[in-house]
Amino acid sequence: MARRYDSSTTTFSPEGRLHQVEYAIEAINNAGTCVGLKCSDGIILASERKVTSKLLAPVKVSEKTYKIDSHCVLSVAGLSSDASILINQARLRAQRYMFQYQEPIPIEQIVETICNYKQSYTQYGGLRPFGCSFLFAGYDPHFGMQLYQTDPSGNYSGWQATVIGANNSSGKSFLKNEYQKDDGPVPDISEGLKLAVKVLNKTMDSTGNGAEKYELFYMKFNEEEEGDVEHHVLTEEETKKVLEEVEKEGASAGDS
Amino acid sequence: MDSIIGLRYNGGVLLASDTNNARSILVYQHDIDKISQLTPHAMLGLSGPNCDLVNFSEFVEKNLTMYRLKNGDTLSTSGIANYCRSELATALRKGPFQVNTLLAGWDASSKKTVNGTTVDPTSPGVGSLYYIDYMGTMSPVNYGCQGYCSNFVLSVLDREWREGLTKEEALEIISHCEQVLKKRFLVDQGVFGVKKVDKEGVGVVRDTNGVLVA
Amino acid sequence: MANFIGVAPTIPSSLLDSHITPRPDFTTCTDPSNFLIPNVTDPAFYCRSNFASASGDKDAQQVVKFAKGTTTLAFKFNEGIIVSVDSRSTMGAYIASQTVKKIIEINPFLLGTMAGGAADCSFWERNLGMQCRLYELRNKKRISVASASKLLANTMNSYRGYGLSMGTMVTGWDETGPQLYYVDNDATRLHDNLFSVGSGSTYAYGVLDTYYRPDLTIPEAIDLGKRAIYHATHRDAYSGGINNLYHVQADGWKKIHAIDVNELHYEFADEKNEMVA
Repeated sequence: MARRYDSSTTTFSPEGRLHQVEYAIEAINNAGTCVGLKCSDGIILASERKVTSKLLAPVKVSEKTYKIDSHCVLSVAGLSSDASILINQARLRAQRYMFQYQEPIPIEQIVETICNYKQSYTQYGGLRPFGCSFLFAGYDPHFGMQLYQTDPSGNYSGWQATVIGANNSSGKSFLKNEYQKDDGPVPDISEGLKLAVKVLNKTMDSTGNGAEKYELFYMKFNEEEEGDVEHHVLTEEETKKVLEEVEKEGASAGDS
Repeated sequence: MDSIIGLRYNGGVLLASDTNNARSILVYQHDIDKISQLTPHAMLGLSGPNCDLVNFSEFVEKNLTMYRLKNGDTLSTSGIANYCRSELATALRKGPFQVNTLLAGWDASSKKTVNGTTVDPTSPGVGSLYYIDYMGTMSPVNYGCQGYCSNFVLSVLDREWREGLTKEEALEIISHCEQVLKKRFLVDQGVFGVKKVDKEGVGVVRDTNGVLVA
Repeated sequence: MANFIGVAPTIPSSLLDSHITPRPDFTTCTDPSNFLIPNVTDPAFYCRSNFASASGDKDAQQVVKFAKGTTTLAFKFNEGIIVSVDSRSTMGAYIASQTVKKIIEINPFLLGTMAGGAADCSFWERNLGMQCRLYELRNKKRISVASASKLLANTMNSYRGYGLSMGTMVTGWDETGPQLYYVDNDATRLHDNLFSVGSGSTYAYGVLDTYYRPDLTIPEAIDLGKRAIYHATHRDAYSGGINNLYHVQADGWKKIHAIDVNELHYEFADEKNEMVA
């Protein structure tokens, strides 16, 4: 019975479900994982790079983290070709806002625009939903550092720390225990990077991965310019260092 | 013959405008309000034909209300200024809004939250004033005026304005401007209405009949 | 007068724009956005150059000359509103009519006055009457004077630059009491206690401003409205004929009188002679 309603996204099934949208969400649950963490001095996006072939040219800077504007980035889980359409829309929205008001767009407005766009693909005929979820990280003077997650249905929500993509539920439950453990403080970026790597280690299929499988990004407050943020994608060297530290901590924790 | 005068003081901005509405040689009305409130913390003083005054200020006010309903927060004063500017510039080539304006607004801080922490709630905040004309010229100013009155009162403002004025001192400057206009300007400007915007929002200081409001 | 109601005006071919673009058929003027406009590429420019606004001598070269020249006035006082007008219509130096009804009864609670182009005023005020009636049917209550005047101002705004000529006062009694608005073809809309419109308005203002008080009795107010119009017709060649005067109260408007201003002239002259004697 359900099959009759599979091919058309605009039609509810007799059970009141939109199968295509649900399948799109399901597809992302198999995609490379992305972790987002708010820190005391910034915000972290960490993602898993799926290296499909040794022959593939290595990524130059980033393949999952995209700058939308100088105060906003996103990372992608899902189909990157679908994502690039939406990323273009997000950049356009940000620049149009800047053109109209001469100030950076509030983060939630970009998220809302993109989600409205995604939603329209679940309702108009002859279209397929976007097969990607995003983590948006950004800063605006209204609400400070913010982290949002979106899905193909057009839903979005704000988080302190969250995971999207493959094994996101185990990642999330790990974060629930480790982020602000025992009502501790919000981690700073160096602590947060380690936590993010630990989450990725939980969600990734294999263990003992090389630095090329991690894409670590942080956005932090600029110390010279109040209210300004700087972006940084960790180089392979820097990533290696974080991985080593995580390994060391893991070993000593195992010892005790 | 409209006159709009504005100046910044510590923690706020004052706008003053004449209250005459005239057409050719006839004054139709003596208590018109040419300063309209756009948001709880922003107001726009306008000079130009009555219908453009009404249409432009209502247009901007309604759009800002819609922005607030949609996005849950009002636009900063600089955002409003840039919005007004671009609307005027767009309208310029298709039956313009013939309005010259002064925009006054108040913000808790030039940046609402700095590095994630909310700004000191006891701070008086910042008032800002923008000069925007019908062609879409915009510039932030400490004081300014629109209309023929600028020939008389700009020198007074140049002479008397300084950073950190109190509201009382700012009102004193406004009354100096009125005196100059009364004495030297051919056209009787009648009563000036005065409004302020500060932490408490937009408020009437002197109404369009010249009565001081506590 | 160019008749824009229903039938397209016959326009000399020399006036027609060479690039005529087909336009939709606007023959039914049931809503203000559906008003017949000239069938040329730039209707606003065409109207401006042929039916320019009625003030001053701007229409000297116009092919179409408006019937205009007027004194109208209205004022609010404690017992309601007095609306008083003359009745002359001129086309240049020619007196086209001495018996024009310049107070338009929009509905039993709303009055509009007529100054400027006679056709424009009566057309757009009838149009306003229609919009007000539709409002009444849709909302099950009478429209306020504020809303009615805003409707007219919005209509004027949408035809700015098309050379419409209209200076009107919209008055009436609504839920908020007596109200008086001035609306003209520039889409200016003003709210006050006292207005006078037309070529004789400055004369009328002189008398009105001198003798006006909010606490006038009804007979005093009627007398003031009558005298202000008389003095305007005396000095303004474009005003004259009959003084029509209405009084607006909570139960709607009432027509008070229609007096030939010539009679008023002798009446007031006698009055002065008696004072001297």
